[in-house]
Amino acid sequence: MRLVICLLILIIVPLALAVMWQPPTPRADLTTAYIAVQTLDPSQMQASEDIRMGYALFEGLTTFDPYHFEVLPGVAERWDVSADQLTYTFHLRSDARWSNGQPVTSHDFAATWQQGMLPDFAGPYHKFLRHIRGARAFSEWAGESLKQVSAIENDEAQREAGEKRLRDVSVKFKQLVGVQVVDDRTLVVQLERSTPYFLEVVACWPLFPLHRSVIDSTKLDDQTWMLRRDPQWTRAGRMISNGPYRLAQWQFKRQIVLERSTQYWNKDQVKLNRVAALNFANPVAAFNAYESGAIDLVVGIAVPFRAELVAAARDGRRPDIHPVNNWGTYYYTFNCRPTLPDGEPNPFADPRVRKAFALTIDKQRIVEHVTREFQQVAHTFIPPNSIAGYTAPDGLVGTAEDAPRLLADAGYPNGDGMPTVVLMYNSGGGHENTALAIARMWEQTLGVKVTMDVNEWKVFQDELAKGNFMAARVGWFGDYGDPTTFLDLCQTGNGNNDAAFSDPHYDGLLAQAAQESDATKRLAILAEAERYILQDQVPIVPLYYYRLIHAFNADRVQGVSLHPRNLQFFHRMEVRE
Amino acid sequence: MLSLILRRLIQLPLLLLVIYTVTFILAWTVPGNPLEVEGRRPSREVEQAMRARYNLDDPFKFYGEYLWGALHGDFGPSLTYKDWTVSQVIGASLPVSIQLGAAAIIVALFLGTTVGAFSATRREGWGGLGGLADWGSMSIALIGISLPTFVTGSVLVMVFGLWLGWLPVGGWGRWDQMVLPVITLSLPFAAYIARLTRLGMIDVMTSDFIRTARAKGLSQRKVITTHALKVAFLPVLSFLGPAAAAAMTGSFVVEQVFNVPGVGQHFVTAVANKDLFLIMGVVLVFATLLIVFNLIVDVAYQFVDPRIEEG
Repeated sequence: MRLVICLLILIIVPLALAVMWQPPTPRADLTTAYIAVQTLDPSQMQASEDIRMGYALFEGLTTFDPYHFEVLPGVAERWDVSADQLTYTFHLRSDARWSNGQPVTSHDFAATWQQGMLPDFAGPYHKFLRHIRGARAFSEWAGESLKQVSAIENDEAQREAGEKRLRDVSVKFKQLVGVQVVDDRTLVVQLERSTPYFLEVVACWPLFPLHRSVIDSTKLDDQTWMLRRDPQWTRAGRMISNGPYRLAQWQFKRQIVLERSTQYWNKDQVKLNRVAALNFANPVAAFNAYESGAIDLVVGIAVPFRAELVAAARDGRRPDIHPVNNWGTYYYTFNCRPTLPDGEPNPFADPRVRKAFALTIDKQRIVEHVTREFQQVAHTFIPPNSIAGYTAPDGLVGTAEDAPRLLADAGYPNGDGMPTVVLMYNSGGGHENTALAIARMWEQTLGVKVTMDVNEWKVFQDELAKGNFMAARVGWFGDYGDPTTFLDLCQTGNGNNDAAFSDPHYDGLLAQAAQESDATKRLAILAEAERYILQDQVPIVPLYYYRLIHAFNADRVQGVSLHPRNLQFFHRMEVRE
Repeated sequence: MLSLILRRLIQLPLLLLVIYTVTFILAWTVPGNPLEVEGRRPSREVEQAMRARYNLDDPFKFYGEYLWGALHGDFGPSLTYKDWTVSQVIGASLPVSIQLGAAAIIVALFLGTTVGAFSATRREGWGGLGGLADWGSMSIALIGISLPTFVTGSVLVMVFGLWLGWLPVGGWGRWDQMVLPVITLSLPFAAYIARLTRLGMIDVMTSDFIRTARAKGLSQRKVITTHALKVAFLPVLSFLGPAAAAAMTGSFVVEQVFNVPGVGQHFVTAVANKDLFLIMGVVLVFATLLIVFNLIVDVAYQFVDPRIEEG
């Protein structure tokens, strides 16, 4: 007994000390929540929560007005564009500073982009850099030379080859890539082809500069002879960034604290001195914290009772709940491969079958009675009014009454001869109800049999890639302000073309648009491409635009963007007490 | 005693190797592409480079190299949390789980033994009310065992966090953030300990040495605390080992409800993300912890109860 008591005291005392040790910290100007931040290295970012932090900590040559998505000057105070729109000359502002006080120079951008183009670092959005002339050739050289180094058997020879490759990188970059550092404050960028949205690309996180200490820390990995960078530079106290905020604290799975940078060129416009983002592994816990007043702002609530929140917002009971459109489309995709993986012919290879199934879906019914979130029904793939100058085409023409005739034309009158339709969706996330409702619509109107294939997320992704489905629920969010961010998904060979849709006319339209230097004409060609898939080919059926639900008291917290592209800039927000 | 400890210490690496191998086979055969994040697949060259970098095409190489690294304390990088190594992830979350589990067991111990002893000794007396008190406290204990923690946790959050606003609804680091999760996690253990103590007490109170103690004229309280509890506590002690391990490893639900940044969430999310390095690291560290815990309990048991001899 005495022993047990001793043991207990031994445990309790250090425990109590550990708990009491933490001094209470004053509440930040704005406290928000995040579910999972995977990286604070902008070149490796891909999830929206990471990117939100990226825009607080870093700034590109240009930046956005997050409310209307106009491009604004960032590190570059102005730029010149050549008449052929192939050469951009950026003039960097003299007062652009890193958080340690050093000036941000054009060298920083060139060096960061050089590493960003290497397969060694493999950033998820490295393709943003491909707009720059020679970027592809440089990447391919780097990939090829890496392959050659890997093939060498002798260790010593391999090390030498690896080191030679490292030396060659800068030489090749200068030779191949259209990026010239004229002086510290002038950067000339040549493009592969005219890219009307290039200034937007420049504002995005893969093109943010990294401090030269990060670039210089790159070493050769002694196993693969690839270039490696120590990812620990993103820790608070070590990170040097150039944005409106500096990283004051990053406690893993607990919180990220941002403090206004005293070096940021536009610091006088930054209202919030301290922003704390608390980590919640569970969205319900985050919402509870909001309800208890512990946090001020939740961006994109992902709780199971979203429909109830939308209902409360719609009838005015909860003015602090803000349902808005997101820059993404929830859609169903049809497998367009001629045969299924088991070798059987695929009825959905016929556009008439796809059209029949698409026409049968009552989208309004789904958003009102199934999801009950009252999302905006989608007739187009690209969310409307999200891209300046782009006029969306009309959606699929026809009604559910036309569907049986189309199916009969394709050789399946009343569904006779149709194999059982396999409808695939991923478990969790509430896709089941929508899938069941759609299956019932198909069965009732078309006389076909539908079976469900439910898979856990990773398996679902694998099956999609393998084409092991007939119809599947998918979704897509745009990356940059151009129709191609959506339309590329139906291009032959695109990595996310789940339908494996391959159509020479469509690919031709995209190629034609890529060659077109007149922005208006180019957008018209892209609109025709979108019309072609929506009306004629129907590899996809857009159901609705994703809904975002933000929670914040609009009288208190101001400057939260309600634009569908959902970039939240803490440095544009304000809290009124 | 020494030979027991030695034998267990020799078993430890063998046991871990078996656990490592089984986990490896399971983790490797989980379908899905570990390099894919949120439905976006990396481009072909990127994927090739990553696969080469992490030995993702060669299970034998992965098995060997990971084991070699783990022996040197390097559990590799996390594929999900790109800026953190698995060692850092575990280092940040394991102490939290241990704090939560240890605090819950301590609370459960005090709560459970008190209620159990009370219930056992009040069975007679207080007129007919004593039986009622016994029946009542044991019923509460039964409910405590049966109610899942996500129910008690959610109720506590609603009442004390949202309605009354006395305590924060989540987080970790300050004492007030610990109260609700510790109580929630401790309740089932407390209830079980209460039942064990009660049974032990009832058994002991009728034995000869208690009668002797009473005959010496000791007060009821002295009889219970110095004589009866000591023996009645033995079954509780043997329960403590597995209970401590369960409290520290099984707090996933409590961690979710109260947003406690412990290690439990990594078990689940690592598998969902097919983060191979994190799965292996978390399992290895936890397995080691569990084995060591059980060893400590076995040793402690020998100290307390001289009837047990090493066999």
